[in-house]
Amino acid sequence: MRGFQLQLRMMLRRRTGNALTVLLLVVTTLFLLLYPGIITGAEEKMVEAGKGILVSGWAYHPEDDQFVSVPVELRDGMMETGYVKSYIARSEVQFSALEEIIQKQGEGDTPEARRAFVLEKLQRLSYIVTASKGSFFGVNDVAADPDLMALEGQITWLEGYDFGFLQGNEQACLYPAHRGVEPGDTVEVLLNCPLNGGKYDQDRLLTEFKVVGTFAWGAQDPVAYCPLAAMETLVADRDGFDYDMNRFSFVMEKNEKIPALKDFFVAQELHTGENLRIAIDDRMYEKAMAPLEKNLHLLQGLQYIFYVLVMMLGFFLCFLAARRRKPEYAIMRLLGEPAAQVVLKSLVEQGILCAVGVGLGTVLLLLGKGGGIDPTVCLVIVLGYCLGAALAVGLTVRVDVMCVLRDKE
Amino acid sequence: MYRNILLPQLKRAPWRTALFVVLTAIAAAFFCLSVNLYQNSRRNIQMSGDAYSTVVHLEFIGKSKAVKEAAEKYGMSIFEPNAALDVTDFSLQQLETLPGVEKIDLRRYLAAYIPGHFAYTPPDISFTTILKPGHARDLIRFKIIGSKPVVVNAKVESTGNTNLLFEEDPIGVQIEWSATGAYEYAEWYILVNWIESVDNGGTRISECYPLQQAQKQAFNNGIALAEDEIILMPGVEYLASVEMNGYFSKTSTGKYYLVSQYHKSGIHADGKLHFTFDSYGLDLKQYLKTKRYILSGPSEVAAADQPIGIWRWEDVQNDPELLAYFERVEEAYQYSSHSFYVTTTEDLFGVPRFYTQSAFISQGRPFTETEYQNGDRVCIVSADVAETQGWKVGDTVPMHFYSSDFCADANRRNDLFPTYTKRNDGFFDQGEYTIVGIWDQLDINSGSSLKNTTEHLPWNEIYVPSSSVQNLDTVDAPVSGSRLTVHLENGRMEEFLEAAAKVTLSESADEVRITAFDQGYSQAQDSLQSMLGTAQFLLVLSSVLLVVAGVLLAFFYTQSQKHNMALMRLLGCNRRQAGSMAMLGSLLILLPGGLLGAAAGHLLTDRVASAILNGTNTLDKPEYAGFREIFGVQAEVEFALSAQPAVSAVALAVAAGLFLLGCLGFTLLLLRKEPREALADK
Repeated sequence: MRGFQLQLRMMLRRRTGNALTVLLLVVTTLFLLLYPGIITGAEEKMVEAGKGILVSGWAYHPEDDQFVSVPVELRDGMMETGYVKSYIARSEVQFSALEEIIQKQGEGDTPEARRAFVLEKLQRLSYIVTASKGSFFGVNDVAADPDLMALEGQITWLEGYDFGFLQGNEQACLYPAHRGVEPGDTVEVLLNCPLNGGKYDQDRLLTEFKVVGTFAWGAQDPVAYCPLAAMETLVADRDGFDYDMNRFSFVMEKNEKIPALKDFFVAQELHTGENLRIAIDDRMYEKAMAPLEKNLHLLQGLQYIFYVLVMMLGFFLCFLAARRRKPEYAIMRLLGEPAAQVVLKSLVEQGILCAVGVGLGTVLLLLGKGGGIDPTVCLVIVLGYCLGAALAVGLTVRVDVMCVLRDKE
Repeated sequence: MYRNILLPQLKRAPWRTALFVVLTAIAAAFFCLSVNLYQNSRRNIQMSGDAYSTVVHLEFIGKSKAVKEAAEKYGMSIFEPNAALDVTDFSLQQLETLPGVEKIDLRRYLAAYIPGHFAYTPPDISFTTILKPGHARDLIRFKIIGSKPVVVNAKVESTGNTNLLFEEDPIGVQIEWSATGAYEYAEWYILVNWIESVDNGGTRISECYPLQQAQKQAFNNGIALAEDEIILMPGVEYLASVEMNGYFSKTSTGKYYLVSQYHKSGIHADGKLHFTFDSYGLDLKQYLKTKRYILSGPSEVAAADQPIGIWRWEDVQNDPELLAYFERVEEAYQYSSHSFYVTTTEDLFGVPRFYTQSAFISQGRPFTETEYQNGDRVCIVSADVAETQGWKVGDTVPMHFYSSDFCADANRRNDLFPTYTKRNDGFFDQGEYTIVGIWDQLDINSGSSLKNTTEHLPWNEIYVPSSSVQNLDTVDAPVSGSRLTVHLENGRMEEFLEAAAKVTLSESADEVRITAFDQGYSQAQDSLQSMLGTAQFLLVLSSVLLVVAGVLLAFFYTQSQKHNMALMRLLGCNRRQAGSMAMLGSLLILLPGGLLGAAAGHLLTDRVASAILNGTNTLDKPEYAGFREIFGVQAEVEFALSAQPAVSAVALAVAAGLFLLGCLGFTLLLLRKEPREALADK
């Protein structure tokens, strides 16, 4: 107890130096404890800042975009990554209207007979259909097809319908008005897989769609639009239908996952593919995020340099503080105290200062931040400082006591 | 004296002196690192913020004048939905007063006659070597080959959009002269056509010289023919207004010949003459839908208006009025066939498709601020125009500017070509323009809610800085969404929209639609501010650490000098001399220590920054290049990763100042004590 009081008295006698040391320790603790949090915070803020930037991508053919062919498996694989928020796609299947086929190729006296004749003939794949052929598009958004976008505001809708039906999978369609149909009618169409050398010797499907909207269409060949999902249900798994999507674009869900999504495409060689490539427009994202990312790396790169410098600063200052006490330690030795005891006392003194400084710093941090303290950092500070003191005292008590007392410097 | 005392004193305790130097060096290095880090953070966050820009597009929605007039004239109901219009009652001054407005870019659409460069439509994607002239009209003088007269049936028949062929058997012709001089006529079919409006500047296709019955008889040399027939005599030179519909290719002589006729696929180029009259059998609904040419009416109206565009050259020469007319036509055709769209701008990246990055600079560079300000004669051309003209970055092109009705209305700018129609207007400015960049665009939906006409970017657009064109005031400048971009300060979008909603920006439009884009800045703003705050906090923390360390160091140093100062004063020195000695000693420690530390801090920052710049970039690995190949040349993303000498010097100065101030303070405190008191103080 008496020793402790003596110790305290000695510390008080050097209150200015000790107060400054404690202050330095407080700031050092704050700096070292806060720095990792600053890096984590910067990472989080960077992700937050990049969230508002729209990053989109699309499939294209390096030579000619009319040959784009995105298989269903690629789309599904991409969506499974969880990095993509949504996609817009268009599939295309050739079609002819059954009504027109009957008109042109039906034989018989009555409409029923002509229809039966055509239906019977269509059973054979070799039967050539001479009616006009058009494109039946499966789309999941109005933006999937430029012509459909141009029709916006010019469609006569069946009550209760709008472009929203494209997101569903109802077997319904938008159909050209000049074909003599009204919203609410049903049209029968013959879906063929894309032409192959002009021959109709592949599988085809006779099916019907509910007309939910009509539009004026000036071109000779008809077009019709149905939900992408409905088209997929009809023909995607059907033999002979080489089903794919010929327009495909997507929007990122998590922009920070752009590299991961790119790696996904790289693995499938879609960055250099001969027939299909993916373009990702992250120019704006990179322009805004790259400086922040580089800065974050700088923050991380300097972290350990800062740590080393701060620790060196503490070590040498502590060393200096202990060296100032050389005469005291010499007198203690003269009075008969063993060297180990002197070293121990010095370490206790510096340890107390350290504990107070680090403790105060930690408390301040807890009050300000409320958690997330890394005890290893505190331990490293204490060790670093005490090591400085131990080394200084060790060097002092090693030499001749009289020499120390004679030395005026 | 100082040198004799001070240096031996420092040498007497070399370890302690070295320790002070090392500590000073560490403190300086630490602070130098901190300040450089802060400076880098601040600039990088600023750069990130600058990457965003906020723009506003205003669209004036209503029924277009042309559509209203056409519908009224032909008694048809208006088919076209509300369009984005040009308005003339818009006040720019009112817009300028709204909050947050940084700059308003009102672009002008001009026509530029570029001598020696024939304007084409873009190369067909399937036949990349085949070109089609944009203005495919010409005046020619020709004679028929052979010694017998040829009777030609010239009856106009209308079969919808198809051009009509009047003579089944082609006639061989010899071309004597042509107005544009651009075509190799010997290889061609020639479609005799009307003459485009040249004088009155009114509707485009109604002005012509109809061949009256009496003239027609004279033309036919008094030979009685059926009503729809004309006769061509051997040896007689004829003047004809012709139109070439088809694809063209360049010959070795630099002229162009027709390689395929797209309106008449069954006929092949054989050097024969066919008389056809393009009735422009218009399907009004179709034309309104595609928003193409200004209309002259349904097919029967247009067909009735058509002249026979062929004259005996001798008759023309003998009629001064007619000759003068054809001279004007020759000049107009010459200019029109070599005319290009030019758009003036004060900020290319405010053009809607450039803003959404679906249009981009594929080669060369964008305009610089200096070029915008100085009005340098530089231009950026489209990739298609560059390809068809054989232009590349660094080439110069002579531009002669004129205003054309065809450039005025945004709704008509659908890959058309300007037409020189008002002869008396002349050119209001001309100059040699250097191509500094080539732009290209993607065939993708930008996803914006802007009207198609606002966002549409004609494939043949050429951009020049607004200030590079003189006498622009003489050009009519109605305002439309496609030519107006308002640049706002980032973060002030809401404020602007609120104020804009309270003012009437146009009386003539049914609705003024305001669409603002900020590229996600409103979402990023808080994060960027927060990051800047963190960087500042780090600097403050580092500064406090430096202050405490500096003061502690100064304290230890002055304490080590306490006995020396007291002894000096006992030996007769005054306070100033003793204090100066201590301060000089601190300078001797500070100079090597500080310089060493600042240099170390500077080098460390620089090395780490270099390692980061050379290291792997998670956003841009080499294999990712393929994902952006389609965007052409990529602008380098800027970073601020370096140690700046000026910043390091400031850090050194601050660190040194703190240490010296600390030393001065503690020295003054010690000098207040009596020498014996100081010596007794343990």
